[in-house]
Amino acid sequence: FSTAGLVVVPGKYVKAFYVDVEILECGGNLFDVVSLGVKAALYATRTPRITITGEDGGELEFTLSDNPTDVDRLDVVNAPVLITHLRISEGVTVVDPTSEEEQCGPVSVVVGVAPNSTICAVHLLGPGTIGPQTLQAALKGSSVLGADINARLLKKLRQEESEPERRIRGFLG
Amino acid sequence: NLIVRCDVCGLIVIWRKKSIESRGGETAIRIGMEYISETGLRLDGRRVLESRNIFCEIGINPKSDGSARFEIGNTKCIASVYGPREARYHRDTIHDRAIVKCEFNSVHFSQSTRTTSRKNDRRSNDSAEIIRETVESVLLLHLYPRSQIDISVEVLQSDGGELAAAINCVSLALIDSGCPMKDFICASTSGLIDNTPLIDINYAERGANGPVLLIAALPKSQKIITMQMEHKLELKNLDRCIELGLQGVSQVYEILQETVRKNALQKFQSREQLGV
Repeated sequence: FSTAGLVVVPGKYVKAFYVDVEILECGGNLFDVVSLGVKAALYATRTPRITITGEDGGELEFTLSDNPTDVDRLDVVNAPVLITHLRISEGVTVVDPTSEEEQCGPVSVVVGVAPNSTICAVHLLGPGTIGPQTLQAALKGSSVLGADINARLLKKLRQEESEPERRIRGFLG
Repeated sequence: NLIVRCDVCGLIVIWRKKSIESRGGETAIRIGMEYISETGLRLDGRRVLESRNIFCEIGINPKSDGSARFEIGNTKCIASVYGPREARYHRDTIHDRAIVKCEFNSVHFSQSTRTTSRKNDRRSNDSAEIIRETVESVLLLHLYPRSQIDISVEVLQSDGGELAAAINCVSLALIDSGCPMKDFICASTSGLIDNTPLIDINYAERGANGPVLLIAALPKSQKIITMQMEHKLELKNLDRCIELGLQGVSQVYEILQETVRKNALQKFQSREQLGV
């Protein structure tokens, strides 16, 4: 994920984004869903363009553009997505577990995968152990699946955006 | 008159010259925002005795015993009820009735700027207490001794009248959960701006710093359960404001009742389809 787009004045001023996640209902596989939601939300984020108007005693002055179409967007094309593998037994893992399935195994592996199939994060979750073969298989599977999920998400987001008469539904439709 | 269009919300605001003051040789013109136009329209185009559009839905969270969503204008909230069930801590239980525990929460992105105060701040605790007391006076708690009813309210978007919306939402969620109650609990706000009493105050109108009265009542008997007021109100205007609050309560009641009826009909029809 490129943070170059967040810079206003190199070395001095940057934009800070706060991402607040509110979970309304938990049906299992929280990490994956939250990562997809965050990526989609960042894709939809538009911030007003900032221009430097002048210098006032060493402090820079900024103005925000009033025009709603004059916006900056974030480049989230390369942002990763999380994939959870739940370990059921030796050598068997399940992706995208429901909450009932989550009760079946104590340990899961959360893998962060970027669109180009590279793995950028691995996190073990739960009071359990996972064998090295199982872990390797999970990681391999994730990198393939991750690229696919990222591609589909991006395709859907672009499709939604290009719809000419998209009715913006409020929360929960 | 100065007419300005607000970039944020698209409202057209009229600033009218209120008075001209002369002090020490300098003349200053005081202007104030016009909350109610000469034709009797408010900032968002409503009439003085009109509530905002209400939308509600029951049963949105299948995991809880009862849940509901309530939207009035741009104020949106959801509530979930768990119970009556076995109390978590035995020391909290009461031998002859159930206890009610309530949580009130506003998401960080509910207002136009991000709020950082979280769960245990005073405002949320206050609101939670008010909801709990309101609910305790309507539920038939003596039917479930040594049990606990948990209520959780989340305000997703805030545009004035959040506590009233939360109370209405909780009422629907309790009905969905099947907790026995004496009647619906309906809540509404009323206020006074420029000597005109209004129903359903939104966020922009709260900025007028006029009194805002929250009333929660049993709609059929018009009995008031909870009343909360902000700012100052002259005693002679109190009766009118209470009357308007109860009018608002009736307006809300019509919609809540319709929603519950539709939901019950749906459940009944699905039972019929199953051949039960």
